[in-house]
Amino acid sequence: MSELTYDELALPNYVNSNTAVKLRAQVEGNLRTIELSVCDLVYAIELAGLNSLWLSDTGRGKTQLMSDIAWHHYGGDQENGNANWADGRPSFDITDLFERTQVDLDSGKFDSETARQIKKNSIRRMFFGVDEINRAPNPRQNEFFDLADGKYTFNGRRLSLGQDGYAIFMATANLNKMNGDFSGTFELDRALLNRAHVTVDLDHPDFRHTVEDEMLIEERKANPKVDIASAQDLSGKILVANSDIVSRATKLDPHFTAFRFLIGRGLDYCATDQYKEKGSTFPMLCAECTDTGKDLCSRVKGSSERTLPAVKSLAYALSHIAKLKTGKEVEIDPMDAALQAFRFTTYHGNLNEIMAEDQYAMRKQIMMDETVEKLSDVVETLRPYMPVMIEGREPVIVNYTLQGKSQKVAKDKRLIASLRSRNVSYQEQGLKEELRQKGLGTDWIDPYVRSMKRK
Amino acid sequence: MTNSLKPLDFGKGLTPLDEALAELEAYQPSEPSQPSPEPEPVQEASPLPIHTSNDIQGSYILMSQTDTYAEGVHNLREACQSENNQAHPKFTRKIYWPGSSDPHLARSNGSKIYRPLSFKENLQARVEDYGGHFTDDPERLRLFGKWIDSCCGVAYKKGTSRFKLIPVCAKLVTLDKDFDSASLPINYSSLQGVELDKDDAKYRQLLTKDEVLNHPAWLAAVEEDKALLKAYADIIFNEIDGDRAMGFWPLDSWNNDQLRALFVNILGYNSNAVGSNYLNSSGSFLRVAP
Repeated sequence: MSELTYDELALPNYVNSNTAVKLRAQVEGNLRTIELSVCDLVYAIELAGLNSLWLSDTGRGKTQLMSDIAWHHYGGDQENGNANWADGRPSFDITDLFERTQVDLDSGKFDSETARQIKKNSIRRMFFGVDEINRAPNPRQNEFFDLADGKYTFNGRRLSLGQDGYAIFMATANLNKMNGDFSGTFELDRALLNRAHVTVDLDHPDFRHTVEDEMLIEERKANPKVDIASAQDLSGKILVANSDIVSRATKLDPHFTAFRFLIGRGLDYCATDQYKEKGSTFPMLCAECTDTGKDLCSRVKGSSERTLPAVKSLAYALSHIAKLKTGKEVEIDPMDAALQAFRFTTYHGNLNEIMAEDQYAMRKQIMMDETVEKLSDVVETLRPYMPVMIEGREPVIVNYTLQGKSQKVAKDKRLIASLRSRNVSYQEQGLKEELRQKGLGTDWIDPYVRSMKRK
Repeated sequence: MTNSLKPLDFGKGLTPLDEALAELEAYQPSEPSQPSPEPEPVQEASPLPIHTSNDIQGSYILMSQTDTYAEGVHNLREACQSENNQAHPKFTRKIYWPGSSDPHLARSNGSKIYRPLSFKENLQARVEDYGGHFTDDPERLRLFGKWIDSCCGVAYKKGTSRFKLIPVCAKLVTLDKDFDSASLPINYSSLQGVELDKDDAKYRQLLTKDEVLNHPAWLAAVEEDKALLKAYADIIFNEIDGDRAMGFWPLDSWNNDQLRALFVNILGYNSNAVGSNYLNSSGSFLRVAP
């Protein structure tokens, strides 16, 4: 099987060239910025094997997007296709997707145990799309949990969906921001939201169609209905790419591990709280807080353990897409890629709801982007300490000026002795204090350094 | 596919140590050595009643700088032992009831060891030495051009802004020679000292003379000897150009119970009292001449 190409992935009908992601990359020895469009982001999510939720008011092309993916990447929902498609309706019944009833009229017997049969072909499909999921009431939405978890329970047996561990769930939802986040005909179930690894708000200025896109769409389309793409099944190639990404993402990487602590334990710290954590008091204590790091830490609480695998997979997938798009070997900084991936991974429940409403009119992606911007400052603070910590040394840097030239050097006894003997004044700067001033917890640093020392 | 995620150099990296050392090696300093900045946190000590400073008579010798605080403590001790120093103060070791760390059950085991001077004694040394010179004699500042470590402990309590000053801290006096960590883990509550709160006064900033004389940490550090503090502040504010100096510099934040040592910085660094320094970052002590 030949390798997946960028041209094969190009969606036939859905158009969105807006720049969703910018990554600094080393390409052929030069540092440059690679821009990935909303469509590129979709491809990356697919290759990463992540569940995604696509939100917007009506008319942003969500259904067209999902239809193109289902038909052009997974061969559609027909007999030999690799996609399952469902519409969020009150009458939706998940058994329609995966079960059938076979009755032998000649025998005159009906045994529900044997008459109900699983549709093996549907179970093996790798893509599960649900359009307008919030048109289904909450009890019906519960039926999608299994899809999002990649399993289906039949006659007491849990069957894995998809193939070779790959099954992605994609859903669209109409978002009525006037009524708060994620409320449409019916509110989205929180548990279902938590199963979406990635959430993309297509109303966000960076993710909307560009003017050029709109003109192109107008030119192409004679009617407002969704166009069904010709069937193309790339699932085998997607599986190969996914397998490569997963194998990379499951390896321990000190940079991702540090990033995970930043967005987990780091952001879970609260200087004001009695127990120094953002528990039930978040975000109530934030308004009166005077901590120096308030600007960042009051925005978001720590991410759960489940977030990092999604961040890592998406980061590697973004890098993979960048390579396909440029047709060149690209090297992307893991922290940069992680920051970009973090913009899309589980933000709905972590942001400060009061701030989102007061300052952003519930435009959470804008708030998330600004939060990531601030987090990137923290990453820049962390960056010079990384080689020191990876060597298993205490993250302390010595700053001094020698003959007009500023120097930053990892702390070392010989250096200190040399500076003192030569009457050179210096300042020590520790990562813990720097992170604390930026509002992040630092209880992870010592164990992290110790673990690096052991390696 | 090659590994596509790799740390990139955005030009904000550190200078390699070897390169930095080579540059320093080639650099010729023009002035006498000065003290260093303010450092950071760590561990605990055993429970003892508060020991205080002695009334010392004599002249002072500035010991050679060592790589760590502990090494300096041991060098000082060995120097005193070798000259059978009768002027330098000693510390009486305690032994504890088996299995107990209760100071009330502790008793002297009779052994005495030389200890570093306390913070108060260091200030006293500077004041006396300064007073022994004419006002235009550059030598009057000979003890102000090098920072001076003390056996005064600064114990920090995890999760709070509180810390204790321990004028003669047993944990520091008895530190192993090869101790090489930034701070010493401790059980804060078991230490006897003057408790202060970082939020109750001005810390980590320069102070006016009046603020120094009424500062709770400065007063605790000189064991409430207001006359000494006044004499010392008079010297400092007379020798500096501005009207602010003598800040008191504990750690900014800490997340475990830990102990560090208090030192007095050089005049060029405003003679700050610094309790944030790494214990594994050099030592500089005074010895009373035998």
